[in-house]
Amino acid sequence: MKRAIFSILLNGLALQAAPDEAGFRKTVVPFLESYCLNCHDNETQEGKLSLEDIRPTMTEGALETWRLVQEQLQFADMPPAKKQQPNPAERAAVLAWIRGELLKTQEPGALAEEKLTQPQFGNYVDHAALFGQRRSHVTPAPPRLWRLRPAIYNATMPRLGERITGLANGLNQNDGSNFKDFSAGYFLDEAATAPLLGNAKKIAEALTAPTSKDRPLKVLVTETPPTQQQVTDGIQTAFRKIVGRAPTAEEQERFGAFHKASSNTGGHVAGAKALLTAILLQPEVLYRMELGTGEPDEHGRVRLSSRETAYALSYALDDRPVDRLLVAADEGKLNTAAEVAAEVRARLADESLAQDRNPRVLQFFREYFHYPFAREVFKDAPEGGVHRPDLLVADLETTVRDALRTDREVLATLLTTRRFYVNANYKSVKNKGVQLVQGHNKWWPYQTAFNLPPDWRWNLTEQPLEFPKGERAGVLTHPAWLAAWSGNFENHPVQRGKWIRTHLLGGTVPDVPIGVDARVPEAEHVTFRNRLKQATNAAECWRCHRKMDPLGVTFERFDHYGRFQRRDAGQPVDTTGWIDRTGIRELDGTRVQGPAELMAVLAESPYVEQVFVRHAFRYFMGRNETLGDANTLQDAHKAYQSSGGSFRALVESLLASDSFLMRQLPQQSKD
Amino acid sequence: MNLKRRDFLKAGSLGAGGLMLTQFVNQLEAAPKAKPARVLFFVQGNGVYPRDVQPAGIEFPKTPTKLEDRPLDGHAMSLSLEPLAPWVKKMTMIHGLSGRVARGSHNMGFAALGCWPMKKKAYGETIDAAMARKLGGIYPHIGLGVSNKAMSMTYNLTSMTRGKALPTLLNPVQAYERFFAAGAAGAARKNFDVDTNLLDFLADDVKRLQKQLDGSEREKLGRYLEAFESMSNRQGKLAAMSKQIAAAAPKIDPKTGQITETKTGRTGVFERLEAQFENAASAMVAGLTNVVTMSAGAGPDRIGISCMASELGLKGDDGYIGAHAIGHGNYQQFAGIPGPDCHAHIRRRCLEQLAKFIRRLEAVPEGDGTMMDNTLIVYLSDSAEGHHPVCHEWPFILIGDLGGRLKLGNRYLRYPWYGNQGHRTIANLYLSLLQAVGEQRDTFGVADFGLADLDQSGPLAELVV
Repeated sequence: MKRAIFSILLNGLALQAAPDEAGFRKTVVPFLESYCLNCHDNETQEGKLSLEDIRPTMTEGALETWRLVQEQLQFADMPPAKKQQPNPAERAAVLAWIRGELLKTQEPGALAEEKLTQPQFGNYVDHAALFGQRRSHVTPAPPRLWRLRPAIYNATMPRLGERITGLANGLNQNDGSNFKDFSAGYFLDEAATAPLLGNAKKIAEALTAPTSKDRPLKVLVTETPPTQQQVTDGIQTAFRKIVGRAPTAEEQERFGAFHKASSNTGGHVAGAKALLTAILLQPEVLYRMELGTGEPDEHGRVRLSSRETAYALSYALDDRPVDRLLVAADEGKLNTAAEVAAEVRARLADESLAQDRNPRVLQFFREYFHYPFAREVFKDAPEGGVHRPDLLVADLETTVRDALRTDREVLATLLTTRRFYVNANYKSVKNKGVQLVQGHNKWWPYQTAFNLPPDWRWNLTEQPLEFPKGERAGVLTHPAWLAAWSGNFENHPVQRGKWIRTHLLGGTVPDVPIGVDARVPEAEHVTFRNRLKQATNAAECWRCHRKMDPLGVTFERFDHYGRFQRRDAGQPVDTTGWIDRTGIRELDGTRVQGPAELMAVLAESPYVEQVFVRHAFRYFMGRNETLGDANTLQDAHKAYQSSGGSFRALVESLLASDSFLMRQLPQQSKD
Repeated sequence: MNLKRRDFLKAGSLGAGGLMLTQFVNQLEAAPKAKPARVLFFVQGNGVYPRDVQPAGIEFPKTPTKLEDRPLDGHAMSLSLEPLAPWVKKMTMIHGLSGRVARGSHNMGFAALGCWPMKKKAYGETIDAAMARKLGGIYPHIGLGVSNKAMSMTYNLTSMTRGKALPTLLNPVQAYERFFAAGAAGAARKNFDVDTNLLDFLADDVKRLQKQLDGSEREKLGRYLEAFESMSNRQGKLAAMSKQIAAAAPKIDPKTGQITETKTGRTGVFERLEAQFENAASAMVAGLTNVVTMSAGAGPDRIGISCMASELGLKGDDGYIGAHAIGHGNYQQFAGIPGPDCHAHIRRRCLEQLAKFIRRLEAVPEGDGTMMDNTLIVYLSDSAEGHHPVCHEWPFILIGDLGGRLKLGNRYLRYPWYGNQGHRTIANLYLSLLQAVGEQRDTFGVADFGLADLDQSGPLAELVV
């Protein structure tokens, strides 16, 4: 609580954490009484909503209610047309009060609900505030621990013990379509620690085995008990190898004593293994430490130490420590934002076809678009065709790799390109390096997924194929994405619409209420679009579905395998859709004839670009943005725009920002 | 319990004379202990096909509208169930329960034991975790299983609460080392003691770092600290039980821990399953746990169990029998027999291992009978009634009656078909299990919206004692 108050005092808006109760009483209560409580009191509870007892605080469920009220007022859904209407000034005053209160929950360090730390709630932070006024400075996150993601553990641990195999998977990773590696999402509990303990023992075994290359560790388990000096050397070696630094004098002593105690219990061999196991389970080994160091600046912020910076950068770009960055840290070359930017720029310069130098960059697009999930959506083969999600995903990735290499207008390209590969991937060819080659030799009739005829012949020189205008436009019209966002038997316009609403328009959609039977009715000779309409047009459904369905139904242009279609259930397909309720002037009210037009409109919008920047921020920072990160986001967007849409420039800007490199220290309240 | 009792004795000796003390002790000894209760959930991947388990001579109407409740004995068991035939008097076969709310495509994962939409993953508390919570134990829940993948553990069947999945250990040797080290002799036992030191040291270490943090970061590390403290605490309890653990520990061939993913040679999957059942039985006999979930290729990592034809004892061409391929109907033959029949053979091999588990528990006296008398086995598939299930029907086979807590044994129960009056869901079966161990509830998991007009609440009346 203390921290929350302090950091709010620190930022430039001079907001108070406490709710504005006076404003609530003066502006909001009379409004609710005049225009809302007639239907939404405890007695009537129209739409199962009562506002009679609502509190002016934005916590514990009230947050969602206030957001709902805000939306209803903002888009003039409420009060219903036939009821008495507030005048625009009254409406605006209440909206201003709600927004002001919501903004307080978005300040750095504000006591928010736990769910707001999860990636799917990132859009709860006010877009206009983030990209509006500049703040005096960035208020970063507090010092944090970030549990290693499985990929890092799996890449680094086996290397400790001469490529040890068969380590148990103790680190969970969330499923689902959100960014996976979020620092708030993970911790080590008993279920995770037990297998990690097993793994540590296994590695300790390998480190002391005759095949081990670490002599100082091997001598700990020879027949004669080690001397004091040998134990000291062993601890030194183990710390450098496992923790990546020398032990402190205090650690040297503590681990030495532990070795002695364990040796007394189980003999010196068991003692040595216990020692190594203990080092392997140090929080510093299993967590990324981002605590910061040195004197706090005038805003109470400290910089990550250069080693912390080197690890943070390494794991932002790769799944293992990057030697060059560790060396730079040791040489004192990671001390300023400019130095970090230079290192990141050098690291991101990657002209390879496969774009695999920085695996986390491609991984961002995988997690953002979530197309690899196509592999998880089971489908039977369509008549006359075949469903090969593995090939679809690989093909789409060839396109993504091209966009990353070219690094020009990356988002717009990915949202609109008509050039797609069909069974063509970058692979390493013997003696020739990486080249574009046929992905799979048993592919026929895979090409039918792209509506290519049965007698179509694969030809390298034709790749990538350019599809007709209006037929394909960007990742969202690629069969891999369409299959990933579809059901086993049908399209999934709701999920597709939701993706656009959240990932491109920066909007929010509440979870499906648990009591809802989300099923589209079966009916012959009725298009899926019309069947969906039957399921969602009831007022209580449409309240949320209006945010998704009008966007998602444009993709009825394709069947659930991702094949272009003109008819569905024997009827002509209606692919018209519209964008509204975004609050974005340039977009609201836009009607489109189909997915290609929709994507063209979205790709041109700077607002959509900003939403994309917000997603990149979350992915590379491993947390949601707060209002304290406003400058970082604005700078990153500017870097992206001024570089002609370079994703590298965007990443460089993020990784050299104060949000990435600094931590806000918890402060004692001044009172 | 031990601790309390010790405190009690200490208080007694301080407050009252020797005579009193003896009285207390006598009273304690005489106090009737709650009858033990144990449950083994055996989850088979790839479906338990209703027609394949149908006993001979009991008709199989397509969409029955009336409850069928009749004795099972006198009806020959189908091929896959033959290994369980000796226990027909303890067996209850339940057909006609639905689980539509789960609706997955090859496996329902957590939803099979949880009764919620499959895609919600670890959405809440699964029935095995709920039973574990009620029945307690040093290890309240042990998850064991086998898979064709060379994984040592997976999280795909059991969850304690939302988002908190419990592991299924897939390597029998690792599982053995994990649960029975306290009972080992010589070096292994010394290692156990060194472990105790290690856990205390690590707990201390984490505390040290924790002091530097605050707020949510401190909490994060708190979970890690708790892990070491709780493991260390358990070490103490295990040490005190070392004799009974040693007496009960299984003998596991170290080779069964070598899991290779192969499509051309023996998979060893049934040997691993046998070893896991030995682990399960030993853990129960040693008093380490009361609830085990055994997975035979269940969960979304894998569709059922694949193996070589020779591992099923099938003659003809010895080829790889892929669990996915055999799920796709009669059009394809493997080792000279159709896919579904292969699946029946696979289930039979699995149930042979279960039969060994039952014999093991039957061999251990408990009260007036054996351990098996106080045990219930719940056999189901996480893929309900088929390879591509629709979950209108989810067959269950139960063995035992949980020490008389449920009206089970020698029974064939068929509930009215989905949507008919009197139709029940698997949630109702789970509610019966919970009620048997003293937890009365109306609902479990998420209700089936398609059955909104039917009463979906409460346990199966037919099973309530």
